[in-house]
Amino acid sequence: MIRRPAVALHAVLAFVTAALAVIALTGAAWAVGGAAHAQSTLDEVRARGVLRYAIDPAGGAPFAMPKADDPDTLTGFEIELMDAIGRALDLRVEPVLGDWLALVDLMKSGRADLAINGFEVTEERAAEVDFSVPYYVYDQQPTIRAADRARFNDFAATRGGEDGAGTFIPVATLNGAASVDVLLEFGWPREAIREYDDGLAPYAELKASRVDLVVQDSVVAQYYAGGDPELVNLAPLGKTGFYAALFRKGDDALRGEFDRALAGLKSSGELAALYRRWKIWTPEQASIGIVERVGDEAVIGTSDVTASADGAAAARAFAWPAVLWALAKACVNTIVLTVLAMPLAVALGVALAIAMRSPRRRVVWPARTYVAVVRGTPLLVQLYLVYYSLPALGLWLAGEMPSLAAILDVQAVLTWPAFLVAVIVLAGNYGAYEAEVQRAGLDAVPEGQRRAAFALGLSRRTTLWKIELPQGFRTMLPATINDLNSMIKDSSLVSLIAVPELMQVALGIGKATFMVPAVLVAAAAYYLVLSLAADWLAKRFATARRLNGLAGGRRGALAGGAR
Amino acid sequence: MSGHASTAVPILECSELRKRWPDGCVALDGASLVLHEREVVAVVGPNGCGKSTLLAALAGLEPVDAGDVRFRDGPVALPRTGVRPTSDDEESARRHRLRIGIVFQSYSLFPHLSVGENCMAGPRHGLGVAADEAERRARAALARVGMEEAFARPATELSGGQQQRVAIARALANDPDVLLFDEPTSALDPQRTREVGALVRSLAAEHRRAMVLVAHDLDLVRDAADRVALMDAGRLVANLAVEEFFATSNPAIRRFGEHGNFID
Repeated sequence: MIRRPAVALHAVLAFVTAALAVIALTGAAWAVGGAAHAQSTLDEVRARGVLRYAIDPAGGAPFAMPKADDPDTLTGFEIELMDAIGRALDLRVEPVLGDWLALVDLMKSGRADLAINGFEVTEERAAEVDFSVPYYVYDQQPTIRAADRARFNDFAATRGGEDGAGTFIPVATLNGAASVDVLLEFGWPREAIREYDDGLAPYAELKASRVDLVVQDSVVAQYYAGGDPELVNLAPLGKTGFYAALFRKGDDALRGEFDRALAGLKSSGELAALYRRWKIWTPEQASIGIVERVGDEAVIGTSDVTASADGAAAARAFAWPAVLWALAKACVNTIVLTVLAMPLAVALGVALAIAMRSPRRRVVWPARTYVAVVRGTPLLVQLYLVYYSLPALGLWLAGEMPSLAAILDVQAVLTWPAFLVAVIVLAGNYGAYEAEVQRAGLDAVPEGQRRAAFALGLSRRTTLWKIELPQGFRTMLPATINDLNSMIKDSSLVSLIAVPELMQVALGIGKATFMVPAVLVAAAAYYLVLSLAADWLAKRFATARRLNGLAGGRRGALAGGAR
Repeated sequence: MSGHASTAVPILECSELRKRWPDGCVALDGASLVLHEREVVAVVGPNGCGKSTLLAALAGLEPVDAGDVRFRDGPVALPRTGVRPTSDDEESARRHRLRIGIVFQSYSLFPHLSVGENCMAGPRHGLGVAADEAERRARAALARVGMEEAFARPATELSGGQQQRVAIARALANDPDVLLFDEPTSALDPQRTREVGALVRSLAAEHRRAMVLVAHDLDLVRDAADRVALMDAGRLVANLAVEEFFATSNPAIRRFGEHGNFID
């Protein structure tokens, strides 16, 4: 009986210090179990009646974006394409949202059945994924400032520029896009090519005269530059390529169904009509079998690209009340995330702090290792690994070691909700910082307090909980409130794993409406309000619970130690 | 006041306690002391001779290198330097401390708690009595030192003399068999010193509780103590009835009795 408290304490410490490892292992194990029971992806999709596709709502128009007047709803030609595919296959389709650079991993982790978001068909990608048949033929389109019309009347003039042969003007494009290869092919030196993470930023740079040329996929150029009087699209370069949907390697049955449905849309004229609506139709689409029909007649229509951009102008309709409301709703996620993650972080921090101060080395070093690793690596990487790579590891294990996979069950982790992962990773990350905060707090409690508690017959554990931790916590309350503030803003990183928090929604709306600076200022105002509110609430709570430091000028004498 | 000690029953005794600090400094060098029931012993000696360490060792708060402590019915499992105590050892040391009240020189009140909560901490979390009973004991102890009105006040708001009294009440609330005072008057002005001296004397007279009093203040020693143990360099070098201490012809003790310090 007497031993029980000590044993329990160490069990708690061991549990907490091993928390991340446990999460990691169960994550992998559950994923393994889930995959082991899976039939083919197509059977799974049929069984659930839902086809899930990975797409980035903040990646840019006109592929997928929030509606300007109803930011909760996604629109875009790929959204409509998937809706049409769903109707053809008699399946409900469901977008699984993620950052563009994570979409392939979103699919590989099993959270989505396919990925579609302007993925160009390239050999490098073919090594990792399987492509559907193409659904769009794009070209590379150069864009200049309207004021430079006299300087560059065609693309050829931009090569070498006025400065003479061999000098290439700075050019902006999308990071990782096929346009980079095209520019290299045209002789641009790498150092003159600036790559940006989204499709809109290059045009902002062009307008700001930081670059003199933008080369991007024609769809992007048409949407963003086509209706802008300050910019001019030059003739496409004739460097065509294909957009196609991505599937996991070996998901041939599902891919076959997708291809059949897509072929139907192409020949029926439905896809052509869709592209017409989005003003992205070009005659080249006929080369991948997309037929345009008027009545029952197949026709060869003229291109929308280079024509005026009514579609773009319509999408720019910007409704402040709707945008502010959408941001306010996104705040709810940010708040809930922080409210759940911060107490967990403090609890984890306290447990780690206790472990780090333990006289037992085998309790100390796991805690120290955890704190060092988690504090020493970016939150972004932690989110990515836990959300995307653990389930993928599980899928791989299921393939390699099906017997191990069969032992464990639970499909759940494959679809471990992004929100849960966000809470766990945020709490785990901030727990490491809080560990140092709480340790500093405990270290600041005078030795005399511990002695006084022991002298009254308090056990080691009661002394820790009733005397040392309350004092340490009070001492470090300002630092903890600081962490709370940081977390509110760091929570924006969880958009990487598609939790729609404030920052992601703001960027999505901004890019769709060309109002990025305005929306960012609005988002910043929301963050400021949240941060001030958190500060005020935390201080009120502290006052109500008498947690406000250890005020009083006589504290030194009061808390001093017996020699 | 003297005379009964020889026939009384020992309640707390230590023998040959040794303690060397990590820096090599010797705090206890074979210290032995016997405290009888209902007896007040004053431990006097120069600064740094090990008096506070002796008190902490008697309370089982300070690990010692060697030596034994006995409490009435048997040996106490003292913490030993460099030895991690088992859970059983820790528990028996804890039970020992419940019978010993100690008032620290610096009071060491808990700054995050109210006066009442400070005094309830021992009964509630040490003895493990119910909350209302703990509060009753805390109020009674505070009443004993004249601080009952301060029950709900934050401990941080008290003056030095008030803190001293709350620290005494906190020790009394556990109703210990032995009370240890470490320099109860050292931080107080002469007026407060007289008040605390009166309080200690009345506590001693009232229940004839066994007390060990580490003191520099010879007036307090003269008024409150039955015996005087003279400590020097980690050893108890003399143990005299209080009248003897003040009347002795031993030149070393006389010098101490006159100046309160061997060095001065």
